[in-house]
Amino acid sequence: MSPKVFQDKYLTLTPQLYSVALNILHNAQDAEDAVQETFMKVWAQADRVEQMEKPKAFFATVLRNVCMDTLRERQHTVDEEVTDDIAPPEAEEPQVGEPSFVRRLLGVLNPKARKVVTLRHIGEYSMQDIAQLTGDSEVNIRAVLSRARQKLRQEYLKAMDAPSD
Amino acid sequence: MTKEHAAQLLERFYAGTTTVDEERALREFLTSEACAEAWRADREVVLAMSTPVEAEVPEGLEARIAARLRPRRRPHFFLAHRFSAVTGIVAAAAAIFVCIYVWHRPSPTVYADTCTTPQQAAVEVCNTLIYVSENLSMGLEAEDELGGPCP
Repeated sequence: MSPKVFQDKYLTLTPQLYSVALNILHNAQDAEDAVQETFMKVWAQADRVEQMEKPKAFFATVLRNVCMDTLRERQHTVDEEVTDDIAPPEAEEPQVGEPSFVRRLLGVLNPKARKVVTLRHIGEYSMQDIAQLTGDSEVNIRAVLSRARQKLRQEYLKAMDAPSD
Repeated sequence: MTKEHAAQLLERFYAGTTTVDEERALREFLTSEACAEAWRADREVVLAMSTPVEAEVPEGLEARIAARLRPRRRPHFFLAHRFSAVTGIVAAAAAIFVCIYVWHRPSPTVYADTCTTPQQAAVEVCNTLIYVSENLSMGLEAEDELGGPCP
């Protein structure tokens, strides 16, 4: 496969991959590096990728592994700015049913819970990996994840039941 | 996935005990047409947690990636299989050396027959026996001097 063909086929995945990387790493430069490294690794196996049924899934897997390596290198911690990324400041208050509404609810979670939710649902990392990255035990991670999920559901139902103005 | 199975998975999902594969299957079910409206809240929560916040791609990122995609050079066969090549060459050289040694090693000494006829061989045997008996007699004579064999 020539570089041009590879570019035409897969470079369109860049925005998706960048979003995932940024959500996991919370750092624009690291996310960019991760995306570049992902493309290089997949390019090295371009012939194999051509035979795959779901090359997008392969890209996602490679990206997650690259992000995991980055996280292990620096044991990155979530900063408060991630809350602002969930809803743009100039947007109106989202209404129930709009896609950004539930994402906004993620703001009710504490930073640790948000980090665990992100690593699990976007990174799809195992409990063992998340425990290692957060320096916590698997049991605690499960408890944090369970409470976060239940809280989000409760907040959503509360908002659904609240009378609209 | 059946609704009953989905209900069980949801319970375990909120308990934090589902695996990544189960969560993927649950997400797929909740976003399918088979999912009842009663599970709308669960669907929204799962989707919200699984969907990354969209971010603006840095300017020029795709160009930078494209610039790094160079044609891959296939390594020379022997360079790519260095260990196998070296091992093969050494093994071949050892085999050649062994063959040469076996072929050209000096054969063990084979004594050629010294007699050409049986009669000649008989004469030689007699001479040998006479020689041995003469020498043996010398040993036996010495024993007589000492007073005969021990009782």
